[in-house]
Amino acid sequence: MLLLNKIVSKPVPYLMSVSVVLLLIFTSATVFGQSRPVTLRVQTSIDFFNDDPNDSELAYRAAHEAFLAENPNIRIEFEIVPPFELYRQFLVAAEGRNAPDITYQGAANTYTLASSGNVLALNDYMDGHPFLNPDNLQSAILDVATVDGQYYVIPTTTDARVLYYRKDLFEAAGLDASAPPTTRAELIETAQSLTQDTDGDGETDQWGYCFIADNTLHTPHMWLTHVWAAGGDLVDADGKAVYDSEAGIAAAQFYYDLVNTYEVTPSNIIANDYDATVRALVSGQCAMALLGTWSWPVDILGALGEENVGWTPVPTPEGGEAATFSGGWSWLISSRSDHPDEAWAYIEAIASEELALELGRENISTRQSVLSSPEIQDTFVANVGTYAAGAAHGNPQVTSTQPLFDGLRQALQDVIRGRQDAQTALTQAAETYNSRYAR
Amino acid sequence: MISSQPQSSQENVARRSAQFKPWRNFSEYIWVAPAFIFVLFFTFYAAAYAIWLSFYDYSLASPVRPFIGTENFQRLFQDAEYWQSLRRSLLFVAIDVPLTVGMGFALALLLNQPIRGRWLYRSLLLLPWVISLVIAGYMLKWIFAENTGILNYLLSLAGIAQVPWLSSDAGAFATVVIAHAWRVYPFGMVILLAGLQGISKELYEAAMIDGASGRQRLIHITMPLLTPQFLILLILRTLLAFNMVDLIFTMTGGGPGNATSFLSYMMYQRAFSYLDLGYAAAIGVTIFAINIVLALVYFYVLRRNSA
Repeated sequence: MLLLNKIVSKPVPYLMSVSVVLLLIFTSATVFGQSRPVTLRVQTSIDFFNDDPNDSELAYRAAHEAFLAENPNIRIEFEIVPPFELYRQFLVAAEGRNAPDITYQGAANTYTLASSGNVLALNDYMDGHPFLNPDNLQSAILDVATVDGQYYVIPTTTDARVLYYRKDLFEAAGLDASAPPTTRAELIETAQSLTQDTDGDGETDQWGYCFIADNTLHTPHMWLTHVWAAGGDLVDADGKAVYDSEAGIAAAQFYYDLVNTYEVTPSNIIANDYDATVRALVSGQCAMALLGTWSWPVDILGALGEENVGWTPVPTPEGGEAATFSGGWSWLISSRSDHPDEAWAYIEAIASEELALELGRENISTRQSVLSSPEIQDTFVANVGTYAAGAAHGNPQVTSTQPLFDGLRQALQDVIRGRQDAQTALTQAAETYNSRYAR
Repeated sequence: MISSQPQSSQENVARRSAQFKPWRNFSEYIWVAPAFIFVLFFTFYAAAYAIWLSFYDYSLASPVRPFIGTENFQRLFQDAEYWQSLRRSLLFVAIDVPLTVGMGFALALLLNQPIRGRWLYRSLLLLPWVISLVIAGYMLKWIFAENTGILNYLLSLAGIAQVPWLSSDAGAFATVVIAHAWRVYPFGMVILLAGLQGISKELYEAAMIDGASGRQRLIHITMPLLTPQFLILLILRTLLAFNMVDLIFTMTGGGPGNATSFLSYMMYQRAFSYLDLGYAAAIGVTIFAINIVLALVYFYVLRRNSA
């Protein structure tokens, strides 16, 4: 208090003293700062570089440490962000001119990030690269990674949606567990056999087929597999929503029929999230379910065992083509990075062929050379990866993915609940999106 | 020296005005400055910035952000989803505030009685309040899950058919109301209990001597003397209920359809999912205006009643 009163009574000398001290601090910081090593800020998810000692984590850690040993002038600062917050946090950081040099992002966000101007086009780095060149990518992954002919992401691993089925419940229902359904008609027929009142109380306890139709992104991702299989799409070349294409209406009608006409799917799927659907499959409440490949090793195979559960490609309509949705994860470099070359060098180290092979044992690689590697042949990831390589489609290239998907899932829920017919619901949703958000 | 003579308020003001010398009181400003700067930056600046944003087509996904005047507001007022969300928010507030304040008041009255183990009941009843709303949301989502939730399981033991808690519009809305009421009633309970303990027992004794019944004592002594607590509680509960996002986010995601998409959730979604900050700011400005109107209505009604 006494000091404060002294400062107030004679402010000029004190202000001058403070100014001189601050000037000295800033000058010394600038001088010493020149001899500092390059610091790269890497924004990544909690999946990496934590203390989980599984193989992929250890492989990453080894590559990371080898890079640091080879580049003593480079320091890496990690910012750990939950996976589904990465996108927002990167954009907000970029907005505040504080974006990390490298960011790890879901493949679905590539177009938005590229449109925002906050990520670097990587053609100069990727073209001609022995392993990370775009020609080595699966075609669906390359489509998503490319915006107006520029590559913005270095994809690492991907996923696909497949049909999981309970072999034990097939056998209990007198079905051949080695011949899961391949067409929509077979799916309905099989699901009808599997839909049962097991305790005789008049209520269905075991549903033939479950899919996701809640308020999450899984709903449009799953539905799209049926649309693509019938030759349709979500948006046209101008970025306008075309939910109400012939294929779209047929896919929505298929949902309605599963719940209301054939009664092989519970009506409460509109409130069941992804995890609830996994639990329903594992607990036997659902005999078949459309889910992502990431759930296979632990949640499904780990819980049920190979003798009780299997997977098969998404059933297609008669005459349709194999189709599934692929997402996945990628590395990106900020367009505001002061050290793009060092950032690329680091990504080269942690996305190397050796590491991709290591990761490819548990996750579907985006690289064709890894998928065809003899080291991983006849594994789940190799088989499902081969399926995805031929059938996968990626996220539509629109700036506003969320409103595109929100309008769609509301329309689908209305169709499932019988509030609107498929044509009306999808047309209205498409018109709403196109009038407000279409590019 | 403190005068023992009562002074009129005009005299007080005049005396303070005569003593007000900013250059001498400079150090007082310095002490107040940190709090003032904090409020200035995080409240007034943030509010002003949101109003400024609402006049721009401001998307995080686009580097071009043109000034569009009142277009966001025009779009907003023509947006059927906005009006539906507003109606849902007002309905939620109309149910949630009386319910939570009523529950809090009833429990406060009970806990104010000289019952054995009162401290234990107080602690137990306070528990929901100390649970994070996000954790409570996930927990309640599992409890209310239609096929796998424990609530439907218990109902089935009693022979009651499965209730579509989260897969029907009315069920999901009711579930959010129930969950929110369970989570926030202790707030009202604590505030009103503190108020009850401040009321002199002599007033009740005097009323009893005059033959006042329990109901009369409640209506003519307890409730009028709790007016300040009710005022604060109603304002805070209204604002908090109107602006609630966390429970919707974790329990229903606004669904099924848009059945539980309240105005605050719509704003959150437009800002952080659609990245449409200009439009979200316009929604925020209208929420701000509605909150002020609701607060003023409470002030007016309760002031008039207490007068």
